[in-house]
Amino acid sequence: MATIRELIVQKALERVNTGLPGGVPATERARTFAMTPDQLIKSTVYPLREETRPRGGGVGKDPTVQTGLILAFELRAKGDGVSAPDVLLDPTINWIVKQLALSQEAGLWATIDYLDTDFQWAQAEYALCIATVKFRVSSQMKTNDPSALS
Amino acid sequence: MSYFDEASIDVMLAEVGEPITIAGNAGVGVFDETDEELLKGEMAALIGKTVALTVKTTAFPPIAISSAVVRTGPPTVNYVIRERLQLGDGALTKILCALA
Repeated sequence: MATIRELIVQKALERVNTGLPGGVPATERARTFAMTPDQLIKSTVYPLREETRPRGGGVGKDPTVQTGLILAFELRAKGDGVSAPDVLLDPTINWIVKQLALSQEAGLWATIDYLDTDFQWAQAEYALCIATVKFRVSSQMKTNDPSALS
Repeated sequence: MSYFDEASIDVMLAEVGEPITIAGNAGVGVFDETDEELLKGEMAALIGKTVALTVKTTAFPPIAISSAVVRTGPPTVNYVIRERLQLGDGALTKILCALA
């Protein structure tokens, strides 16, 4: 049985891949294999960190804990000689934030906050850019069962 | 301006160099292409190709950033200069290229 965390990642992935506008690539689960410019534009998602906070009564006093899952979308592009790579990523960032920020998903998350976007740059044969878009997904889980909400 | 042992540079370029133009000026240079890990995401690295061109400094007028470099080929490849570095005593210049 999947954890609430994994179900959140799957549902977020489904949301951003539904009704994709032109020029926005489908997002994939993150992979650890290196990527090369011929594979770009690429969008991947992964859980960066999961925080928990005990509810009133303290640790072990309540059957559930609040969770905050930091979800990261890593977008990569190469410049095309006309547009800088961050410009080429802009529609994808725009789309992902619109699909997720402040959304609710009954049974999975209460809300999603858009946290920030970090940009990294490099220049070689192509101008390259990685934009990492992070969200905090507020949910909960049963204190001793990560696959149950309560 | 002249440099120590320039004749050896000419011999070397004649052997391993290839035809190029820099800002329209014809000459020879040596290309070196290296794949490098340029960016490191949380998960996957991003690999890119660094294209370096070495030329005899005095064979060309002063080389400006953003000038056009044509690798005559075949195939012909058009680059733009993104960085230039004089090597050692300055007899050779290393040019880092981006695709135009």
